[in-house]
Amino acid sequence: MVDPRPEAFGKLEQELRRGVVVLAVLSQLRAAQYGYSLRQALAARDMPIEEGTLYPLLRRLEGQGLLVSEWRIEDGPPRRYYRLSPAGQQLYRDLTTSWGGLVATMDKLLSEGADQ
Amino acid sequence: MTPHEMIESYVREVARRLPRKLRNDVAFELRDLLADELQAKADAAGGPADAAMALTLLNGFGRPADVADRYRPASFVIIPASQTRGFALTALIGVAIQWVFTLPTVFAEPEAFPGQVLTRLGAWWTSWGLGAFWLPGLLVVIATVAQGIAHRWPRPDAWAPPPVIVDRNRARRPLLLLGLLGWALGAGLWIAMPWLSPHLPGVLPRVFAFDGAFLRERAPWLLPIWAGHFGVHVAAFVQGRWTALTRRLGLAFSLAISVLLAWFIAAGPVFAAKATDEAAKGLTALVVAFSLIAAAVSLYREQRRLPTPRGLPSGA
Repeated sequence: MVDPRPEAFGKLEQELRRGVVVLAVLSQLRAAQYGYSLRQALAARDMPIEEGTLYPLLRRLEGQGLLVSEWRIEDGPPRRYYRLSPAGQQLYRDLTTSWGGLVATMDKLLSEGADQ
Repeated sequence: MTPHEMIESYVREVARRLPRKLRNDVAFELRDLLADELQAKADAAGGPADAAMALTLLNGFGRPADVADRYRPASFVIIPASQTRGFALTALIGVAIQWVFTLPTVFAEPEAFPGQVLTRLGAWWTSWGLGAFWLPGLLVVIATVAQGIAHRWPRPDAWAPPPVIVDRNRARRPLLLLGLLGWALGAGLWIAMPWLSPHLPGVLPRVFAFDGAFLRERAPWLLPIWAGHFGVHVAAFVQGRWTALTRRLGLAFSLAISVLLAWFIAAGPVFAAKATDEAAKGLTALVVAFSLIAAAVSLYREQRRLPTPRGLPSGA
């Protein structure tokens, strides 16, 4: 069956999701998680992120001082657990506020658009 | 190859592209994460993991070089997007101009023995041919240093207007007058040369004697084009401004002069004495090269010129 949506839809939707990946990841790292468990947690909340994107992203966020990590052994092989650093917690609060404002603005814009 | 050997090989490919201090740690973590992912796929399929499953997983993860890039923090860009086109054009045109002026020498003289042209071509390639790439190399080095400096000491974001607004349409009269006098003097000397040279002292009449065929067949073409070029500059001097018409006419005459000079070089001797002829042609070739570069720059600026808003003095 032919997808009736314009060809650009997939790319633009991916762009939208890419914009919120960092916030989604930060939201799940208030408690420590390792890469695979984090991916599962996000997928279970309808936010699947490709493994090739997520795992390097964790390292980059750690490099920016937003996450801290440690190796732990819990019922299996050693795993690297990540959680928010104090700077990451502050960024998470700031981004959450921005996100709330953005959603409200977009809701307003989209409801105006629907009325026209 | 077993699935775990494939993962091991993949992890090694990624790790060897990473900075040394990250390498072991990332490899250790990535190996376990990929093993977890593979096991999850196998569990979902209800069987043991196999090579095809591992290959699908690893292809989905990305090419090792791309994955290694994702692990690195964002670095600075050597050629920004706004300069890519200009960089590519400058590099390609620069190499092309060098080749255009050096390659004809390979075919200039007839072959003394079969295959000599190929030998000359080989010699050209290892000298001027490959040597022409000094320009793209230099451009890359300059861009790298410039971007490195901009990355280390970023400029403030705020835009500031230039201290002096340059009106590109204004004709700078003193400079134009100087140019016109120079042109007139040069043209006068050139025209008077056939009559002047016989009266020069010593061996100079023989040194500066023009080739007869050149004077009859090629030299006369220079005068109308020269006069046209001169006329355009006189018009700009009188009006005090360059208009779209005078700019384009000036460019056309410059190109015409370059083509004519190139024809002078290629079509036969200009001076009767061989040494004078070779020296004059060498100098003329330089003039042609600089004229073509100047014409290319003018053409490029002409295409990028923004239309003048209404109410302002127009260049069109």
